[in-house]
Amino acid sequence: MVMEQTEIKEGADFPATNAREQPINRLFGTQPAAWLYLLPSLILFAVFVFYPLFRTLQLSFFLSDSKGLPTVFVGFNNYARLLSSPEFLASAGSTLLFVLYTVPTTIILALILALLANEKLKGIGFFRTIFSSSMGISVAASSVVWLFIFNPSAGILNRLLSLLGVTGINWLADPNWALFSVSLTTIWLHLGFTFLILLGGLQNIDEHLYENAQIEGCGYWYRLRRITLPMLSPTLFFVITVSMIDAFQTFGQIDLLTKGGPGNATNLIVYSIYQKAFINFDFGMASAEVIVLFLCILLITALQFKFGERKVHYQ
Amino acid sequence: MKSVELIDVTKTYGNGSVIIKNLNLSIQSGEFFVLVGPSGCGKSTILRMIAGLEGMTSGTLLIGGKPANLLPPSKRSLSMVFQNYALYPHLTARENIIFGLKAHRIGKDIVEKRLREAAEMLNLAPCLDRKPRQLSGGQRQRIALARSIVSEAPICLMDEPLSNLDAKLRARMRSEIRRIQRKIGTTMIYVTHDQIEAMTMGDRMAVLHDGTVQQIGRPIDVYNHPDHTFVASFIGSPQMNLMPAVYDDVQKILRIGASWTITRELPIAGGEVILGIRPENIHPATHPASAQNKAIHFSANIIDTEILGNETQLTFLLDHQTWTAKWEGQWTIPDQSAQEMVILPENLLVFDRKDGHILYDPKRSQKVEEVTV
Ligand SMILES: Nc1ncnc2c1ncn2[C@@H]1O[C@H](COP(=O)(O)OP(=O)(O)O)[C@@H](O)[C@H]1O
Ligand SMILES: [Mg+2]
Repeated sequence: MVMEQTEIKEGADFPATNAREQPINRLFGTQPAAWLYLLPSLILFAVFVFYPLFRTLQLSFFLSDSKGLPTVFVGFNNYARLLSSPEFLASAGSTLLFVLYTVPTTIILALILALLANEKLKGIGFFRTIFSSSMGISVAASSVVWLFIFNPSAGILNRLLSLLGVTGINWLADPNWALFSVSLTTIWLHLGFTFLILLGGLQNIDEHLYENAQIEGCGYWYRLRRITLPMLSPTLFFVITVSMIDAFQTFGQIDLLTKGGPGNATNLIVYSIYQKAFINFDFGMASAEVIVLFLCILLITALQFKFGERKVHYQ
Repeated sequence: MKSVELIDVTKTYGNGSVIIKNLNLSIQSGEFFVLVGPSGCGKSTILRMIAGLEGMTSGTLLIGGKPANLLPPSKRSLSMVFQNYALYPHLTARENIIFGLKAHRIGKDIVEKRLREAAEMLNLAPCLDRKPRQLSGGQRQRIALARSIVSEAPICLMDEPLSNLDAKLRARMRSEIRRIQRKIGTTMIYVTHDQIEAMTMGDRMAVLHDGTVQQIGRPIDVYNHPDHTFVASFIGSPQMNLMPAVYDDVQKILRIGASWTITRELPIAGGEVILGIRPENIHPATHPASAQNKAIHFSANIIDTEILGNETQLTFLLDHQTWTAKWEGQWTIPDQSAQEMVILPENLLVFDRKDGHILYDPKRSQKVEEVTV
């Protein structure tokens, strides 16, 4: 018996067509009509993404008036001011810490919950609903709830602590605890969404793979390590990327819980941008900070794709 | 190698539907046993209960003579090949094959030796380093087989392993699986909906219908002596002609339809019956059978002929009932022309019209007593 031994070729060589060589086709490809279909989303992107981005970039090279209109061209002066300001450096530091506190914790917790909720048990649907419920609650509503929870005198956290005989913590006003408290709220807030995506990923894994492993006598951890995690890796990669970007852009819960305080302990980058632009009316510097944040996220995401994606198995 | 025995096994799913009713099977050690039946009759459920992937509602499972109801799947000394192969898409063929061995921390030398043997047996060497999606359907199928071989489990379960392959490859894999089973000597429990696989591969087969066993026996015995109209129609292609008839036990006449009669004494009570005859037992008038004086001659209008290489399938009408005949050779017969045909009475089977059970099988007395359980 003979088997097919042909190698699978990457990108088979198609014969070059004459049409490709014509300039109009070089610009629009061999199927110019495709652009017509892309037009609606291109217009939306142009209006809501590319144009604002371009204006922000432009603004970051200018001083501005209080309406945000550019007045004097200052080149990279805004960037220089920004990068040498201790307030910005503190902000960047808190943001990094915040990402470090929230992203891994959220994903690990959500993964554990998703693994539990993926078991075939009676009444598991109830837990699936509960675990994903924080997805349906707005940032504003949950921040208000957490304000009550964190309340130094009446909040449930401090009451629990006092039951244990520990003195209460001023969760949101203590510079040592404020970032932690905001992170806690954020983890809770993002848990539902992350859980749901991971559960969806788990349910997509072919049941027969586990049945085969069961027959072959593979233990739980072996199955988790050799089947579940590799098969879940595209979903995990997606969740990690989105959570990182999300964490870098946190704004709502800061505004509602701490307003960047105490001191500058929770003054994350997006909040500091907001303050610069809409409280100090320093639009030029705020724009420069936006661009810096944008480049940082771009860089981190690019690095993730370069190094993380290698470990990802796509079907 | 180990035997497998199912005693009074019943399976009910949560919604209350009874899928398997009082199943009794006894599969000998080293036997190639085929479970065959139409889709949805409960074949996979039986296999999964043997594997321990599905619980039994009641009944006993013995593996190697020992009760196995409560054993986890890994302790039942079996391997399984799934219909969709259940290969790990992120692992290479090699890693797929030794997946289970690695989990058991079996020594490297042994793993390598078994892998080499299995790869050789199945001609897998060139594709060991590829991932499943880079393999053809037939290669994936063989990876799944190899995985089951290297486990060296005494019992092997296969759930329609060939149904995703094209006809040619299927024919080749039929004999290949059979060859490997003979060589290794595993007890094989093979599920299929394809009666050709059941006929060609099994030492014995069980024909299932709606969760009950209709008949168990060697393929040729089941083919020649079906116990039931269901078995008669399910096994054999083209299927057996089954026609409603009435036996008059006073005049000793079998009436088929309105105008056809066969005068013959049958050892059965009179009443409504079903007459069965295999297409290959309806011969042209030129056949040597027509020389026998007990031969039954008749003439019918041919409505269709299909020449399949060296045999010809004819469709004809007797009293608005469609019959099929299979003749050797290539016959070109114009449609709507009358054709003389002949049948021998010893090839006629008579079934009860109410419950479908066999009433009269002239050749049955001559056959070897089948192994019944
Ligand atoms: N988990 C389940 N819950 C309820 N009914 C099921 C389940 N699995 C299978 N069935 C039913 O059991 C019957 C037999 O299924 P199966 O054993 O897969 O048939 P086969 O393999 O012979 O095609 C079918 O009618 C199917 O609908
Ligand atoms: Mg099935």
